[in-house]
Amino acid sequence: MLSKLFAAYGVDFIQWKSLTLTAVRLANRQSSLRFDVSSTRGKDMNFSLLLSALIYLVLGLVMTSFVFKLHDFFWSSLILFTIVAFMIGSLMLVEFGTIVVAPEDYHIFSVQPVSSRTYFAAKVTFTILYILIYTMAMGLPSVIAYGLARRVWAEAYSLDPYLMLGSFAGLVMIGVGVAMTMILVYATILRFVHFRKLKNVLSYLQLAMSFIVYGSYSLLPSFIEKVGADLPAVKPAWVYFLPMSWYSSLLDVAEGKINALSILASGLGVLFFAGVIPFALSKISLTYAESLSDASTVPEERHAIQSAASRNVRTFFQRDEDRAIATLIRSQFKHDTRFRLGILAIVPLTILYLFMGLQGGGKLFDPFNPDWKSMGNSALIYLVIVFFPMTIKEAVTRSESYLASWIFFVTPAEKARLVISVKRILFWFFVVPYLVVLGIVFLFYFQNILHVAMHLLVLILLSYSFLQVYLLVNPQMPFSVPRQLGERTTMLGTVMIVGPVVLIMLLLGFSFFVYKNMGIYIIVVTLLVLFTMLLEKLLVKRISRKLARLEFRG
Amino acid sequence: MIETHQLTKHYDTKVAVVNLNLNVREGEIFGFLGPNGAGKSTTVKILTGMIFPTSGNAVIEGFDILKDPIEVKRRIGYVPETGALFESLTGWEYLQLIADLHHLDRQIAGKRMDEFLHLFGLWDDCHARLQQYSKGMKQKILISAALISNPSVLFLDEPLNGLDANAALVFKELLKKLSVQGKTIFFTSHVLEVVERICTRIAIIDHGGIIAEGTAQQIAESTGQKTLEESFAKLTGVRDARDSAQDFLEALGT
Repeated sequence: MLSKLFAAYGVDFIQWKSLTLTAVRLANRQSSLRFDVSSTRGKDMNFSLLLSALIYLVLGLVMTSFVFKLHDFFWSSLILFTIVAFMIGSLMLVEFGTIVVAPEDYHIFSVQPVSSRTYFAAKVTFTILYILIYTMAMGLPSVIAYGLARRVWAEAYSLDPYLMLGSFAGLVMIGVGVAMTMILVYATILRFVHFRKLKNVLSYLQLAMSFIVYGSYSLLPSFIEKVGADLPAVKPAWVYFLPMSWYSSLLDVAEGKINALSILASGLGVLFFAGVIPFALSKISLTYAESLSDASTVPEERHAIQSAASRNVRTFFQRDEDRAIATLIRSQFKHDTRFRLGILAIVPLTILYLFMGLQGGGKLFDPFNPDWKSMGNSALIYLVIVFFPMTIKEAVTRSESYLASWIFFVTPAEKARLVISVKRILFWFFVVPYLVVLGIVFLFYFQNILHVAMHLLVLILLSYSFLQVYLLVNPQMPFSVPRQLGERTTMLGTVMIVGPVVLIMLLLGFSFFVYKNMGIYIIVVTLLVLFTMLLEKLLVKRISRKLARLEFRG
Repeated sequence: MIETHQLTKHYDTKVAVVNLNLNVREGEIFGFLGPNGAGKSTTVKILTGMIFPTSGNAVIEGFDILKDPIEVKRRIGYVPETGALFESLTGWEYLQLIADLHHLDRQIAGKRMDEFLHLFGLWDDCHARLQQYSKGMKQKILISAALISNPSVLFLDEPLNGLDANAALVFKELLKKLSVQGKTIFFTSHVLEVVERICTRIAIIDHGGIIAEGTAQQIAESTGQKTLEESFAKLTGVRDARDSAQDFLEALGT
């Protein structure tokens, strides 16, 4: 029956089933959160995909508070949908090459009797399944909350199925719609790019997309602020320019608030969803995988001149290990798109958070003259600073070139010295320049060079110690661990949940106690320096011991 | 020289190498053969310090691989079968990387790099990325990288992969001359004719243990076969090649 149905659309049912199952298996087995269980029949069962979705479920449970607190289904769902759209957008951004179309697909499937249509059907099935798992993890608790809300407020005695249905439909359309929009944008632009330039364009395109994704998320605090302060009975016209509001209007309809605007907005949402799907789906094909594959295999023209930058890097560092790692990281940054993106992802985040910081009264939060009004927005910039070392450490560890890391296990270089070199190079190549640029921005707003210098010194010391801690927790050789699907998904979830707590504690501590008194500042900075020295000793000791037993992963 | 004593490696429940005892003398070109999954790569990975044995030990040039791994690695060169390289680096940068990791004097390293790149005909492309190299060019870089520190022990896993006939000929001659100089060469390959021709002694491994050892002629005589190829087939339990081929055809229904 199913076979005939699939055949009518030119899809081989058996191949589709096998390809989809393989994609799910790979997603589970390659996930960074391994959770393997041996069944009674002795076969390994993997639930890693579901386990990493649990992190998003925690966020989903937190978000039910909007439903109960706001007493307005339109506004609460607008917040919920914006967060879901941001998170799904982020997932698509970082996992596009793994979830949607992977370049290696072409190498594997092009020699098999798989039609482009069957490949496409399997990819679509898996992409939608993957997106829905995370969408539902974040949204399903709120769907249930919508059903219960009136009962909690003692306005009704039973579940409200219409609200549940409306919010569920909105969620599905948001999740799948955002994913499809991103596929469409990617694929459409790539159509006009020669495959030789594809890899570079892809990285800059991802960077540009991250502005859009993070930009839409940046609207969230002002929504919450506006919504929290006042819930206008008549929605302002501007709100309907936001696509998420089209899907929030579904809840207006479900609640019985049927008017021309709610019908029009929700109709627009459904139309957009129905419109974007066929366009986006037409882009997922084996031919597209071929283009990506070409991009990764077709050689560019050879350049036979050693660059001056390469020579300078080698002159700047004196230790052999430093020179070796500097050469490698510089080259990987220049030519490995995913590594470069892993580092450059900090740029759009920083610019957007700076922009948001400036919205709070037109100036950045100055920790020496704390103005609590502007702190809320400006605090986000510190979130980025805190997690930048973690991002670059992850980027330098996981790589598609991990098989080449055999060299670190065979040469007489001490592994601990190599890891210390990695820390040094990351610090000097990325952390210091990034913080110096931020310092220039701070100087413009603080108008006090001493404050900026003092603040920058603290940030540099903190970033350095964060980098030490990340290496202490999980020391690895550079580019030696294979990439895993969901590695950044898990990290993203962790950052969103743990980050704000760490950040607020640090910022409050420094503003209230440290920057108020020069004596305390000097003591704290001295303590920080001693702390980094202590960490350095610990780091050398621990990694020497831990890495002595580290085996090659290939 | 290379010595192993009761070398054993388990992967969870699977035994890859079991109680392996080897003794490769200075100046020998030692052929290490075995069918797929016999334990060859695991042995080489242990001997080069990439992974650790579950039990037993290995001594290379008088240094224990577990107790003095760095001293061992100072004395070895390795050409891996996978051919894995950091492809974003240029050929020149890759050799520099290896030279730095071996703490080679910059002038000596530079001179050797110049010479190797010229000898292998890679000079014009040495500042092009490895991604742009052909398989044979990459293999030449791997061989150069293995030789750059002038090691006394060489581990070569399918070193002729991708080399053209001329380069392969030069490389085989080079191996012979290196062995005359006293270098120990641990040579792994599936091409039995090459092993038979250049190796002074051969060991065959199967199911993680040595099943035959000696010169090609000694192994052939001990199994009552004429060639190393026939001995290998007999020792590793492969059925008669003609019968197997016939069974394949029957399975295809032809």
